[in-house]
Amino acid sequence: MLRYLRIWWFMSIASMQIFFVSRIGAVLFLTGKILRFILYMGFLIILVSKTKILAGYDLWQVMLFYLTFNLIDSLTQMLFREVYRFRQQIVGGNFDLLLVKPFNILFRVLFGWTDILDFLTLIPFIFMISFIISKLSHVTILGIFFYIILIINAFMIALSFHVIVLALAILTTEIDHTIMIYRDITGMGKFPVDIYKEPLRSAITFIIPVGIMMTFPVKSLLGVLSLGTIILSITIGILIFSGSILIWRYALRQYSSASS
Amino acid sequence: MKKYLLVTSLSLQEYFVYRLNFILWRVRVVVSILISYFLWSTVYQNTKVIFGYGQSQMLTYILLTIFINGIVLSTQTSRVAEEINRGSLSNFLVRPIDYFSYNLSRDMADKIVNTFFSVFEFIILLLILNPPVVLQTNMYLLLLFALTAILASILYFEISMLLSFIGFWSHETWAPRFLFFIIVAFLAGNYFPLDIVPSPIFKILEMLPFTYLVFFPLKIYLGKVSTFFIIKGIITTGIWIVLLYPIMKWVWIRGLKTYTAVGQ
Repeated sequence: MLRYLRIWWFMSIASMQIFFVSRIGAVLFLTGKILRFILYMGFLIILVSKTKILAGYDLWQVMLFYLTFNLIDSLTQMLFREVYRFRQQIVGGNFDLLLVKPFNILFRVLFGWTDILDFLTLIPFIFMISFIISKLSHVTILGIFFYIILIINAFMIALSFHVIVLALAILTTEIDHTIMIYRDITGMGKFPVDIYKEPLRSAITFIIPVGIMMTFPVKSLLGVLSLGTIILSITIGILIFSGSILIWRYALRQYSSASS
Repeated sequence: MKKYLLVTSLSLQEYFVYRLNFILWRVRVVVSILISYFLWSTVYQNTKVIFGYGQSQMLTYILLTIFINGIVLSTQTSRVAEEINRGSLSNFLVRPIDYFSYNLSRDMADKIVNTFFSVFEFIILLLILNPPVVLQTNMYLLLLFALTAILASILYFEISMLLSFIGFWSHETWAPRFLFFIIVAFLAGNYFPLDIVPSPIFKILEMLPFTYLVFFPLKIYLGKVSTFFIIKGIITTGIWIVLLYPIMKWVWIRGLKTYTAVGQ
């Protein structure tokens, strides 16, 4: 475990050095991310200030849904940025060079590149979430505990989807759009999934579990999620994670090293 | 003219080579529209009119962004930056073609394919979601909608070409474009009609070119506009087009002077 932490640290340092090579680009990307967040939040404030309520939630609660989505999304992007480069390693044949290295290959292709830009946005998100939680009434310690547990669960589901995307990249060499479709669909979690109509709502809650990932943590914090649903969410998370590992192992067996 | 039609034809054929890529791209477009659609549908569960828009007007606006994005925002001008950075621009400079017309022809293919698919997607969404929509029958407004969409396409072409010309001076072309996409997505009115923002902000937005890319044509389609608003909008779009054209040419000439065909 400690060995893998050290490897991750070395890979993260290397990623940061790349960041300093193209400083202007990095600043522009960071500006874009911050601008997108601010403009969307501005839009939500204008909208919910006018309607007073959205799908049964007030402004603070809607903000919390939006911030929780951003926290999970940024954390995922920060840690799994290497997935976006994986296709080149398959097509260019460099994947062979990674396979012969003496550590877990899945760890390498998942965590190979840490995005410092997303890390910089994480800290303000955590502060803003803490501020909003302090503004909400009826929040309990147990609610906060389940909120954290379900965010970890969301992270595990996000990790599983990235593993599936990597497996698909080996099987089909397609990755760019697959990962972006994953991000677009999880983008539906900017708002509570209650806004979507059936059967789409059920689909994005249980089949592509955007609801479990993005909406359930906040619902548990607000105390509107039963213990049974929390346990079911964690069970689904574990099942998706196990499934993704099986798919990855299958894909790895199919790898023919054709490009090298 | 014939050679440029051939460029459009060849660019169209490229789409049929990378069919899966294109289909997945369209899936992404539909998903982003669905998010906005359901958000606004939820808003209208408790109210009939908000920000001066009825449910049918707002949902028509959101659904029509698929169509207007196909016409206006579909472009291949990001390839210009790649061609400059890789040095393959030289291949075009030595040929008896005008590089701007060549890019317009490439863009035409992009617009044809995206608009064609957007019409199908629009119809499919109408059939599945069955929303109340505004069906504009006023020919005068429909003609103005078409005219402003064409003007918006020209304006977007100029802005996008200028952005790609950054490639003459820097290899960092993707980062400015990322920032540009975000600005356009919000300030062009892709998520909401721009006039829902507070009046002083909207007055500033009216002076920017982005307002005339998506919001202005769609507002005309909905028919909630005065003659003064239409004339003012068309004149402002025209001013931006006329203003950006010499700037685009000037930057191009300056860029060519610094171009060293690195990579070739």
